[in-house]
Amino acid sequence: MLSNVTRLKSSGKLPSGKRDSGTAPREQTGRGNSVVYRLDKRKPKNDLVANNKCVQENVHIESKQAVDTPRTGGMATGPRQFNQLIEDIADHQSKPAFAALFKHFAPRVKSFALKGGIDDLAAEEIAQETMLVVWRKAALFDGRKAAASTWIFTIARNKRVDYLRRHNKPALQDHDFIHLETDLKNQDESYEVEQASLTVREQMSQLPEDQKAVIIKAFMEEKSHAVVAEEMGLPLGTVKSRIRIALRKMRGKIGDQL
Amino acid sequence: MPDHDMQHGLMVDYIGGSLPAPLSLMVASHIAINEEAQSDYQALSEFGGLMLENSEQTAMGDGALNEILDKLDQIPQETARLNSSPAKDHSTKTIAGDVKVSDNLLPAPLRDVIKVDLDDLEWKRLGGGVAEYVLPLSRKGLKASLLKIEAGRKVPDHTHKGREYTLILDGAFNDAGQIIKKGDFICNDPSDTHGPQADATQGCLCFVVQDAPLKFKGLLGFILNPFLKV
Repeated sequence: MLSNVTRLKSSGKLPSGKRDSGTAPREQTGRGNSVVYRLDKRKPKNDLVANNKCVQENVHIESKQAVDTPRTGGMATGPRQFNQLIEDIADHQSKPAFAALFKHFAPRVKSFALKGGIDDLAAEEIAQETMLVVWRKAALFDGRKAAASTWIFTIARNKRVDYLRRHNKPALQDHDFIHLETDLKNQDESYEVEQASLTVREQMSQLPEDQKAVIIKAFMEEKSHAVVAEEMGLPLGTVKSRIRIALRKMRGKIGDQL
Repeated sequence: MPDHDMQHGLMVDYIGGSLPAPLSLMVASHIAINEEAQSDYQALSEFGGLMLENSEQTAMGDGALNEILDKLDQIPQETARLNSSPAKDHSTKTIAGDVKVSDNLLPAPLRDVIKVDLDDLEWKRLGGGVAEYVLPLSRKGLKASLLKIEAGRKVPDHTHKGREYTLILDGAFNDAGQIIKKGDFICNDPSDTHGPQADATQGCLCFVVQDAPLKFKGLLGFILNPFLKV
C-alpha cells in the first residue's frame, strides 16, 4: 500500500492548492476541489449505460451546478479548505466558517435526501440537522481519517436512514451507523491517511462511468445493489464484479487479489 | 471461504441505507472487527463523500442559514475526543466449555444491542454443545442470533432453506477442512450442506442471521426440523 501512495505522490497529480490562485469565478467548476472527478459527465459509451436513468440525470446535474457556483461567495472550498473550516468551527466556534460549509454542503445534502424519496420540507430538515451535527461534533472530526465531505456524507446518510426508519420503513436498520471519527481504529501512524484518502479519490476519478453508476445509484437512491441491478437491466453478477473492481481500484491495490 | 463479492454488495447496501436491521448490524460488526472490511468501508465512504461534493444542489429555504446561525449559540459543542473507544479492549477469554464469555468479545455495534453481560443472556441450549441467543431485533423473515459452540463440538450436518450469514466473533470453526476464524464473514445457502466443528481449544462464538430455518439431515432432521423456525 505504501508504495502506491508514494507512486501517486511523485506523479505530481495531487490536487493541493491549485485553486488558491485567483481564477475568475466563471471558470470555476463550483466544486472547489480540483480532483478531476465528474459524475457521469461524458456521454454514455454504450446502450446499456444509455438506458440508465442515473446517467441522464447527472448530465443534467452538471449544467445546473455551474449556475450555482457563486454561492460559495468566493471562499475557497477544496478538501483542505473544508478541513480548515471544520477546525475553525471546533477551535474558534467560527460562524463564518460554519456559514461557508453550510452554503456548500446544505444544498447538496438536501438533494441527497430528496433522492431518497423524502419530501422537500423533510429534506430541508435533514440538511439542517446534518449541519447542526457538523457544528456539534466539529472537534471529533479527524481529517487524517476521512475527508470532510466523507464525514458529512456519513452524517447525512445517518440522518436520512433515521428519518426513513421513523416514517416509512420501520424495518430499516435501527442501530447507530459506524461513526468514522470514533469507531474505526487508529491507523498506523506511519501511514499517511490523508494521502490514502486522496489516493482513493484519485483512483475513483478514473473509474469508468458504468462502474461508478451502480454505487452512486445505491448510495443516492437508497436502493440495494440487487434492485439497482434490476433497474439497470444488469445481471447481479455484473453489478457485483463492478463493485469489486471499483473497490480494488479505489484501494489502490491494483493486481491484488481481493 | 469468505465471499468478498457478497461482502462488498452488502457493504454498499449498508452505506446506502437499504439493509434491514439484522443484516445492517452484521455488516457494522464486521467492519468493527475486520481490518480489510474497514478499509473497504473507508474507500466506499470516500466515494460517498466525493459523490456528495459533486452532487446536484437544491436551494435551501430563504432564511435557512440565518435561522441556523441564530441557533448555534444555544448548541453546545462536543469537545475533546476520548482517546480510545472501549472496543479496543480485547480480552483473550475463551468460550471453551462453560468458561464465561466476556462482554468485550462483542464488537461495539452489537454491544449497543446486547446491553447485558453475555453470561446473563438467556441462552437456549440446542444440545450437542451448541447454545443460541436470539437477538430482540429479529424481524419477520430475518432471525438474528448469537451461537456458541463449545470447544471441539460439531453442529450436525445441515443445509439451509435460505441464506445464512455468519460472522465469527471469537474462536474459529472448521467447515469441511476450511478454517473460518474470528473476523471472517461467510454466507451459506441451500446449495451447501455443512456441519461446522468448533475449534478444539477455543470453541466458537458467532453472530448469525438467517432468512429461513436450517434443515438437518438424517434422523436428527426428522426429529428437529418441524420445530425449527425463523
